[in-house]
Amino acid sequence: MTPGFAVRSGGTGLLGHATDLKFNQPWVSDLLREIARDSVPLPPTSQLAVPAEQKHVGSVGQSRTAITRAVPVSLGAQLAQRLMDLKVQTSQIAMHLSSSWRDGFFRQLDCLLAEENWEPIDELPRLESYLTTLRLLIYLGEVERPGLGLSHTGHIVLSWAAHGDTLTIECRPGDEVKWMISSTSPEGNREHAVGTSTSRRVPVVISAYEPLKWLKPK
Amino acid sequence: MPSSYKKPPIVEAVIETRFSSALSEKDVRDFMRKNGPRFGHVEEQEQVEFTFGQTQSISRTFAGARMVSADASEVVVITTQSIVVARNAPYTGWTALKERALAELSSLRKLGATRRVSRLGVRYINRIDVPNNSDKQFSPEPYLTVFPGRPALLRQAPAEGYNLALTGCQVGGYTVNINTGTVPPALIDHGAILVDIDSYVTGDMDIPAITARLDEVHDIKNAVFESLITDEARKLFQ
Repeated sequence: MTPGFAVRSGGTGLLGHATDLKFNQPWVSDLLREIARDSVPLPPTSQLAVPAEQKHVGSVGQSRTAITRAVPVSLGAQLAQRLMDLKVQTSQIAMHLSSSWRDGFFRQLDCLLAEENWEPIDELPRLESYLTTLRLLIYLGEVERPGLGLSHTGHIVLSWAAHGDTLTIECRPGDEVKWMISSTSPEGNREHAVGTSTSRRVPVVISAYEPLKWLKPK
Repeated sequence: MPSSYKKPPIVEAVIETRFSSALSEKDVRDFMRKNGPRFGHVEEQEQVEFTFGQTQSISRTFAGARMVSADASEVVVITTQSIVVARNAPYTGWTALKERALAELSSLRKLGATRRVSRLGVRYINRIDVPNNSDKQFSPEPYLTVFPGRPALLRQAPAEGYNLALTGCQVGGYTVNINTGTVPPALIDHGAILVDIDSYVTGDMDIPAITARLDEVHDIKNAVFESLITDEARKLFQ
């Protein structure tokens, strides 16, 4: 590799790593930043079956870097791309979901990311948050499909309601969740609870509030 | 793979056809125009090439397209060199996947873009999800028939992770590459084992000839998969 610049990359999707490319020629760095900014990551699916996304061919005094990338897209297309990314992510564990549950969930995602429901300042849903969402929902078993929302930070928010009682779970990256409960006690008192935990602790920490009223499929 | 598996562990099933001579950009674009509307998402791809040295240059060339169905379960990637037809989970069976691949090739043929085939491959990426409480060390050994040999010192306790690649195995006239190993668990309180099998044949084939070849290469893949897993593994997806 030619002295004077360095290329660092990894994984199958180059665009996720484009900003890792460090060059001492400013025009190259600027161009790569531009590419990283106006492109969107390629979904992982099928890339295992196609030739490597990036090739470095080097010799003393001459080096060539070839990148295959998605052509830059508009904001509306970025929404469509993120929607597709979420569905591809779902496909990684779709063997653990019933078809009807998955189809209904996808309809909710379609609605959540519909361009007409979107404000320019909204954060796109974060894939790490979505991964936590999927893992939590499968861990909870065949539960009633929740309402879907989005926090201002791009975290997926799940919500269930039953007879005025609500359970809301914000899914954060890394299997961390924030849960909020508003429920009526057996004595008729209104109770509110908020906490954070790992996904696998959710069934335990909400157990005092009779969670089946929300989670049991109707 | 027996069709009786209720929950096949297939994350992705792929048929790849490589052409003996490259398609033109027009061929690929015609294919995109004709078939793109069937898909929910069509993404054109380009190749960006940087040249450094005494002369510096950038060139951008059309690379092909990636077309994904609205539910992200079906994918077609077409370039001037090859066409890939893939099915993501949930897997709906070999017949459906094969018919899709043949239909895409037929579409290319009708556009007059058919080329002879230099490589025909079937690749299945399986992930076996094994229930395992996070507090317990996960051992993949009971689920596979292949595992790296270890000296006595390293056999005193089960291995938590491993990675094994077998390349260029010749089976029934086909070449098989196998990658297997532990991967980050997709589910909470589970361990996960990757079994990635790429079986292919190279040569000079015409399009009609590959129909029979596809079944053969798929059968080889199935036989290899079954030989790699144990009954303990089969119980997980039956």
